[in-house]
Amino acid sequence: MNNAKQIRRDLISRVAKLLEERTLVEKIDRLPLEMRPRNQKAIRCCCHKERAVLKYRTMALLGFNTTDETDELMPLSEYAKQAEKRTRDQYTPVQLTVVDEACSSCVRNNYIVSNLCRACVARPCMYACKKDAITVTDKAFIDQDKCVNCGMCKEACPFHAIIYQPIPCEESCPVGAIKRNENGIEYIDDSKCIYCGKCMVACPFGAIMEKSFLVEIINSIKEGKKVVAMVAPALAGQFQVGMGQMMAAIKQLGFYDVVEVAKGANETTENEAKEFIERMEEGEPFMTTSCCPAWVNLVNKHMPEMKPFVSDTPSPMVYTARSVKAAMPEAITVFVAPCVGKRSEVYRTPEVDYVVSFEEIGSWLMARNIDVMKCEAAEIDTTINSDGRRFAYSNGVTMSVKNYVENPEVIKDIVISGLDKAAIRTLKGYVKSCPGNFVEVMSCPGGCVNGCDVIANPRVATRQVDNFAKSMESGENK
Amino acid sequence: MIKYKVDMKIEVKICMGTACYVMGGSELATLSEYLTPEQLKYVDIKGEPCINACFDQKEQRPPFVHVGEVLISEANINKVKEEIERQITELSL
Repeated sequence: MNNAKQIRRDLISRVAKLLEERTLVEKIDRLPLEMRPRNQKAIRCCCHKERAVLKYRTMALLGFNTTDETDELMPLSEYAKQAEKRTRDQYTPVQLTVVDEACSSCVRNNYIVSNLCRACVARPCMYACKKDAITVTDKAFIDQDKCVNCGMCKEACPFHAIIYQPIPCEESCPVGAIKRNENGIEYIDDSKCIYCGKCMVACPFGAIMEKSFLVEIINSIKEGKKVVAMVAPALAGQFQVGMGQMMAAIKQLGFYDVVEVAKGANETTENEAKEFIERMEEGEPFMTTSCCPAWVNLVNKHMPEMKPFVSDTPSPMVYTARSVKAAMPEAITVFVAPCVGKRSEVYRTPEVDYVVSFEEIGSWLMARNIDVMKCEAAEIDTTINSDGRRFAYSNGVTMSVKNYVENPEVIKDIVISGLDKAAIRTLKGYVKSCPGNFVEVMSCPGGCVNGCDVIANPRVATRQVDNFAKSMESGENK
Repeated sequence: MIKYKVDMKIEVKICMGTACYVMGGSELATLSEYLTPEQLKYVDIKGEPCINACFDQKEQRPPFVHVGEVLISEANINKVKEEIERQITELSL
């Protein structure tokens, strides 16, 4: 937990409350003022700056990118009006937005001379610098215009006086999609972004927001439409209650029905196993999973040579949405997701209407004052094979497929748990020679339980998901 | 060697109400991992349904935790641990 996250959750909860009261347009302009009253001690420079940041963060919660702004004077109420009229064909594929007002424009160059500098006689830093960027008076000084971030000075200093200060968002991005513009403000290059959400988690200023569907979802419920929540398997570990209680709490938010995506995961398992066997019979060297959207985005945007090896089987979310729509064509399907990646998948999936994140669900429950612990457990679908519930953590998909095939010994699995630069290099190598034949890829280390929008500690959540899966296997209906 | 009144147990009640949980209480689930085996002998950690602290304490913010009689707001592992240590020292003879 951190302050930036708390502010975001507070904000989501307040927006949800206004939507629930149907007073969004009337009251939204007051929201930044209420959250940052004039007399309160500010964390940033002043309350006005904080209110401006809150305004742009709210814009994202209303489903806009900060770059959608054409007139700085346009109030939130105007955006709220537009959001309430928005239709699906007006969506844009960009799901992450940098709140430029909040971006602190971190250091321009990563190497900084600290006050440990002794201004020594030898001046090894000066001699090490090939760009003549360093001068020494009472302390070494790096000319920002000349510095090329090579780090030679840091290596040369015997006092360890030169430090490397990372830029958290850039450092966390595995594909180099986030960069500073000429004003030092970060921007995300959508042609490179894979929507893994790592920058959003990394930014200590909370400057990166994902676009939300809260307006559409809550308004659809208020209009009496049949809105169905499809919950990702990782949800089972998010609150310290059983899945039955968790699903009951979500239903209390006004959803017509709440279904487990673990059911769709069963279909994914079945089809992916069949696909795997077919591919192996055709002599293909290996196949990778396709349920993690950030992985699929990575292949599409950065690794086209991998494309033939990625499974064509739709994700559990897609199968679940298809069965919901088949049974009830008028249903509005909402995927309850652990990450921003799923927002990008939904953009290309007509069966799923909206996404709401775990964090948004938690904040919305908070706005409605629904105590999850006091909810009476809903009935759990006992027809689901519990292996589907294990899609929530790394190795789960592999385990399910192995349990499904008759001769699991033919599966030589490799599990990639977390997409960073090293993992991407490894995966690129697999195209030429792969040491296994079944590659499971999860963008988040540990799997969906560690998604960018989770509430619970991933370790605790993994245990809880597993216990839930086991209890359902042994028939204890929890 | 410090001796404790062994019959005294400090009750640690972590509010698991939705507001407390979402605003950071979820991380307190691992509290026991941060306490020494010796400290664990003197505490009784429990998750409780909403203790209504957010309604009673308008000025303070969630998550809330009771350590014995002391109410901690904006609780995190460190704050709770410190309070437990303080109370154990008080209990010691």
